[in-house]
Amino acid sequence: MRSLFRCSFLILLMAAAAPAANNEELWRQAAEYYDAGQYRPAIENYQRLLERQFDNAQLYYNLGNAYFKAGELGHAIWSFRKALRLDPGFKQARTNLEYARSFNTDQVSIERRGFILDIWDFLSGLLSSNGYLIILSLAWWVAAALVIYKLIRLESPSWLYYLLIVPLVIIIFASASAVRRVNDDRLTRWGVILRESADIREGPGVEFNRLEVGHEGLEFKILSDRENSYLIELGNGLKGWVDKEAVLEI
Amino acid sequence: MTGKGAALVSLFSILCLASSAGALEIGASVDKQEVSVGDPITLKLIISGKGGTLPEPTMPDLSAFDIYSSGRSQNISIVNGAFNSSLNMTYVLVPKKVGEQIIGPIVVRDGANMAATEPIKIKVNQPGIGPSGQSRGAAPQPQSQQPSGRPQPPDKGGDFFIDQVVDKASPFVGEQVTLTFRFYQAVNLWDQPALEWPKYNGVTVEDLTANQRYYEVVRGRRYLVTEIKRALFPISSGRITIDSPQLTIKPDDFGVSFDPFGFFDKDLRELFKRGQPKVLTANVIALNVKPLPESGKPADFSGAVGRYSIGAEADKDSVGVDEPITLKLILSGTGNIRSVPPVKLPDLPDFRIYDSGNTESVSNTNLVISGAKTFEQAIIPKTSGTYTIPAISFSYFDPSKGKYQTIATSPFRITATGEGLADVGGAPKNIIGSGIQALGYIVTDFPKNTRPVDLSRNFIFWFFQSIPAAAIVAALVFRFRTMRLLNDRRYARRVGAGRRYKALFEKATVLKSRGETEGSYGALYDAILGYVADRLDLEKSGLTIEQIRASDTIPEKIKCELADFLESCQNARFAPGGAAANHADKMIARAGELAARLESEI
Repeated sequence: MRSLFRCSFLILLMAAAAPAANNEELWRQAAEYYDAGQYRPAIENYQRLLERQFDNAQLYYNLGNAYFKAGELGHAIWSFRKALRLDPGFKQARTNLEYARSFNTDQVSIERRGFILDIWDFLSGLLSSNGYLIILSLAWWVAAALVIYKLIRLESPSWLYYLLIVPLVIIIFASASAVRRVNDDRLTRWGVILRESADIREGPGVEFNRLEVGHEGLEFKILSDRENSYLIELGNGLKGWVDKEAVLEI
Repeated sequence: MTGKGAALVSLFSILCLASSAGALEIGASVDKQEVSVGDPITLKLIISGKGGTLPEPTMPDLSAFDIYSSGRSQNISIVNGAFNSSLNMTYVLVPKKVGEQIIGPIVVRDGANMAATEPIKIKVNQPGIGPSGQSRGAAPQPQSQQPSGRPQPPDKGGDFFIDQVVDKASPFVGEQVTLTFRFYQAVNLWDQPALEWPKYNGVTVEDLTANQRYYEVVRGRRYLVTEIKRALFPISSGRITIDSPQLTIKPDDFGVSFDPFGFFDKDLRELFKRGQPKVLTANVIALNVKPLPESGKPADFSGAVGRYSIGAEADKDSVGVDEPITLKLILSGTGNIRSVPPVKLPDLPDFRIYDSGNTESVSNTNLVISGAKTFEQAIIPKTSGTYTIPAISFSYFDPSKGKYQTIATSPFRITATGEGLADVGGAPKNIIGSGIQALGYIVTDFPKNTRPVDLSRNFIFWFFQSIPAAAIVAALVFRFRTMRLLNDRRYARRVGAGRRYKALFEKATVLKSRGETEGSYGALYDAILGYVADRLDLEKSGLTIEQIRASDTIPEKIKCELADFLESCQNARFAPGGAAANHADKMIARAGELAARLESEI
């Protein structure tokens, strides 16, 4: 009876460890395929890992590289964006995303919004939301220490008020930047065109006039959707409807 | 319909609507009925009927004309629940034969229903002869034949009209043709006009100017003119028609001639007819696009038309083997810069070459499309050595000179040093900070299936941020209490009463332990009396047992006990022979109980 129990325990232990071993094997094989220039089998291996709920930034990053090498620009951009959504500080994923974007047929020019807003766009895009939250935390603790000192010491110097302005400004900036990054990275819906070309129309259907033609790899915000179409907004503010089948939501 | 006036004023001069049965109708109109060979005529068909789909018309024999389709549009409306459709079709007919030509009935059939137009007669003159036999020099001419100068706008009369002209009628393929659209307005508008450009076939378009406004007197009448210019670039040779734009306006019929006092002369019933929409159209323009000459065409000519200059620059002239150099070829000048194909690099066998994309900037200074296009290449030396990048040539056709030109960059040297990696093929990897980016290596180490911490959703992070908030609240309480102690004497005495009582109570205990019972009773007396004085904010020095008995602020039930305790202390303190040995202990215990009761009662 005891030996039977031991055997059952070992079988359960091996069954639990098997998927992990298989995952590692799939990962290793995918890397070998990639190095050998066999990008399609590499993609299939990475996709099998995704099906096993093995979704992390490195997996999407490798998948993006394999898609790019296989000539699937839209899927590559989608994968790099997924990697960055999971790990906004993943520098190589950001570099590869920019590289892949340079192959886009559609280079959407972002309209300048004015000096102040351009600076704001630049500064609020430097760090991940975690980076801004850490800055926010440090500034908050410094500001709190100054406030507490001011409250406890009845005869504290007046320049403390002016010193307090510095952490307060940092708190406001870091909070706004963190909110923006969280909004962009997690709350906003994004999509990318997968087909060689897709019509951007005035309404949700082929009966509406065509505004533009988007090509593979074109990224946009998804504002809403109807049965078969997404209402999208490009970086230059152009809004239109695109067939859902041509789009992969990030 | 004879004479030159009839030909000029003949836009939509004939409208033949014929209906045979049911609601199916067809109408045809031409913009002029007397032309020369080669002059385009615009034929418009309007088919209307019930239902969402309309049949296609059957065209008559039009072998005397070259026919070009110039667009179609369909409108569907629902009136009282019934579908009605109208199909507008536009054709450009170019007469080939002199004489009277007839556009026969154009028939449309839908089952048993049939409709047809009346025949339209077109008088075709010899080239160079205008309407009614006048020479071209004397008669207003079609826009396509009058590239220079400012033609008179079509004499449509009335309060509004539009026209369009081009600056050249026979451009080369790829040469800029400037189209000028003008809206002539003599009275006010009820609403903003809506301009709909036609769909251009065979040309690409760049906008040159937005609305420019000025006044102009045409045939004795002063018009407000709104002018828009566009640049057209023909794509292929041959005849290309530029259809008319459509301008929908809502005239302010009630306030014509900008005369504010004219209001009183108007029929007030006209007020309710204001703002009725009108659609204005202009003449169709035919361009005779010349092909680029074959003679003298350079071998490297790739289709660029205009006037260009070329330059080359490298970000460095000395690199290690396998390190990239960013080579920029900058082409600038006038012409359709967007359509200029990439400049081809000469054969460079000692380099690996990767296209890094291109950028372009386009402007329309002086109504001429110009700009610059930068082609960026990453060139990577395979082995060490000194190499010469030869002159990079580029050929274009200059339409102003009517011949091809070839321009070239100056050759320059590049030195590569060191030993490189083996040629890995494909795109360069991990080239960072060199001006170009390339695909990074994949991650080969098996990662843990964990995600980085998202601080925005992390409870510990936000709990950590609550600590300063709690500390600030505590500091605020401390600040408030301190300020009250400083400013509120009664509060300060009440708060400090317990502390002072404890000090005296401990002194009494110590004195008693030393055997100094009188001193101990005195300390207990002072402790309790002082406690009461502090709690009630009274002067301790003047407080007596009689005053305590007479006090209204001390509850009755404790007043007697308090007076009794104080009297006992005084008696024991000053009684001859002293009190019993354990009396002091009892008094200390009693003082403790009494203080506790006083704290809760007063």
